[in-house]
Amino acid sequence: MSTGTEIDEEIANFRAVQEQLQRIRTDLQLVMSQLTENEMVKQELDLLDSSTNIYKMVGPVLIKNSLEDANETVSKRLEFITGEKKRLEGKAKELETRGNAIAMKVQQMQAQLQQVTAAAVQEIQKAAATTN
Amino acid sequence: MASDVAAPGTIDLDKLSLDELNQAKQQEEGKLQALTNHYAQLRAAAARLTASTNAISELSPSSEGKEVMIPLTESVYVPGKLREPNRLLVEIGTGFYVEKESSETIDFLERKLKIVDANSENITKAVQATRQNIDSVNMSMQGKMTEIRARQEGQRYRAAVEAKGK
Repeated sequence: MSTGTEIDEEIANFRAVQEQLQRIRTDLQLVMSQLTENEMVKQELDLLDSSTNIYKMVGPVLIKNSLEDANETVSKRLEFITGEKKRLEGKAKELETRGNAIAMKVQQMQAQLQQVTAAAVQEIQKAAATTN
Repeated sequence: MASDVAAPGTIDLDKLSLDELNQAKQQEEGKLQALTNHYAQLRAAAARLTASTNAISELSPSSEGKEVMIPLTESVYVPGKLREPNRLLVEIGTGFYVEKESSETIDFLERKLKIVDANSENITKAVQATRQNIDSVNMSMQGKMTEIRARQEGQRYRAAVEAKGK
């Protein structure tokens, strides 16, 4: 039989999962904005011809880059970011299912507890009625 | 960026409890806050792009050789002469800078501005939808409260009648 403390424990579990999920979602948002930014850079690079001077900011200085190098850098970044996005999405999904499972369990436990309490109350009332 | 402008899942508000309604309201309000922040950021970006466009239009080809004061810091300047005012270095994002002519730069800025404006419009729509959601949740909450109050009133009345009957 599930007791109040067991329910509290499960609720704490649920909260922990929710917190983790929140963190993953913030990370995911960051990755998404990085993805759009890099995609926009890629689009701009695609419009250029190889004679264009391109610079990359490294610390406070601008270092000259060839179009090829720039393209490669951005492509690599996109690859990495897409991978990261997939990883985070998978993690988020997993946490969601886990959270839902715990929520269901808590609901069941609470319903059970309620039933038991109701039965006990009835029992007491019955006992009180007979002594009267 | 515009991915958070999802169609709101339809929930029957009348079936929710007061607590759940309150939760829904808080959730929607949080969303509204996030959207408003996002909108402000987009407007700031648009302002920056417009400022760049304006600056370029000041820099006509005839300004070749013009004397300018170049800022070393915010309060210290050195004199200089403008050379090749048609060759600009433009940041295209993530630390990449590209040499462009004035006309190309203006095209670039217009492209960016279009994207920002489209996003702003999406956000505005999402803000409106979220406001509507909050309104309907508020209405539902009010309805629920009136209902609860009416029920309490009824119980009190019945209790009073029963007390009289005894």
